[in-house]
Amino acid sequence: MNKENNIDNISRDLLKAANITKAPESFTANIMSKIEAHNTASLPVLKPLISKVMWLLIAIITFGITIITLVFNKNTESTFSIEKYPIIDFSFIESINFSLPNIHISDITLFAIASFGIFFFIQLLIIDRNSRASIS
Amino acid sequence: MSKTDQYYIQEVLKGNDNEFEYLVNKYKDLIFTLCLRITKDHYIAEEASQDTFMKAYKSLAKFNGESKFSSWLYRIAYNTSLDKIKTQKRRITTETLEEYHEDFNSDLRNSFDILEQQELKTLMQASLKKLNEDEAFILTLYYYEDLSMREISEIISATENSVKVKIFRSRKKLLSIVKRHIPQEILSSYE
Repeated sequence: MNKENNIDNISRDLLKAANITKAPESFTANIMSKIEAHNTASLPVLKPLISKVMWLLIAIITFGITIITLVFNKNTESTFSIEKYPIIDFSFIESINFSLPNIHISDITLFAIASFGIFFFIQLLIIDRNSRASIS
Repeated sequence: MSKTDQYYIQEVLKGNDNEFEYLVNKYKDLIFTLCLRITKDHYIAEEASQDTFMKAYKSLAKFNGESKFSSWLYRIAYNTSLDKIKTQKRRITTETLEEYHEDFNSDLRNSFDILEQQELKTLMQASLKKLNEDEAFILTLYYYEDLSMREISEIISATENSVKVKIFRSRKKLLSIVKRHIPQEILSSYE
C-alpha cells in the first residue's frame, strides 16, 4: 500500500513537472476567424426577384420602345401635346350605385372574423421573427 | 466576482461570438496539450485542438450543463484527436508494458530532485510521447488536472474500473520509461 502511494505521489509530481505545452501564438485568432468565416458562409444568400440581366433587358426594351415611338411619330407630329389625347370622362363613377343589401352578421360571426384577423397578424409576426432569426 | 463558463456560453448563444474568445483563451493550452499527448505531433495537435473548439462552438446549444464545460471539451478533444490519427493513418511508436519489470524505490524521487526543472520537463515530455494514445491523456487528466476516475470514465466513455486499470498500468510504464532516461550517473549516486 505504501509502495502504491509512493508511485502515486511520484507520478503526480512528474505530471505536474511536465506541465502543459503552450498553444501557438495565433491559436485564438485563427479560431475566431474560422468562426467568422463559418458564420458568413452559413448566411443565406438573398436573391433579388429581378436579376441584373433582367433589369438590363427591361431597360433595353423600354429604351427601344421609346426610340421607336419617337422615330415613328417624327413624320406625323413632332411636338408632344396633351390635347391630342382624349380626356377620359370619369362621370360614370357617380352613376354606379354602391348601396348594398342589408346583411345581418351575428355577434359570433363577427367575433370569429375578428379572432381570425388577430391570429393572422400574430402568425405574420412569428413568421417575420423566425425568418429574421434564420438570417442572423 | 468572476464570470462562470456558463455566463460566456449563454452570451455566445445570444449571438455575442466574441465572448467565445474568453473560453478559447482559458482552455487552449490544456486542450492543445491533451491533443499533443494523443497525437504526439505538434501540427496534428494544433489541427485537432482547433477542430475541438470549432466543434464546441457549433454544438454549444447542445451543451446541457449536466457536466462541466471543461469535461465536455476534453471529451471532444479526445474523440477528435483519435479521429485525426485514424484519418492520417499515423502509426505512433509506443512501448509496451511487458518491457518493464523494474522496481521503483525512493532513489527515483531523489534523482528527480537533482535534475533541473527544465531538464525534468523535457524528460517528462519525451517520456509521455512513448505512451499509447490514451495513456498519456488519462494520466494528464488524473494527475495534472486532478479529475476523478468517474469523470475520466465519462470523458473517454469507459467504465470506472477500466480507467483505474489503465491509470495503474500507464503510470508504471511511465515511471519505467523515465527511469530508463535518467542519466546513469545520477541514478548510480543513489545506489
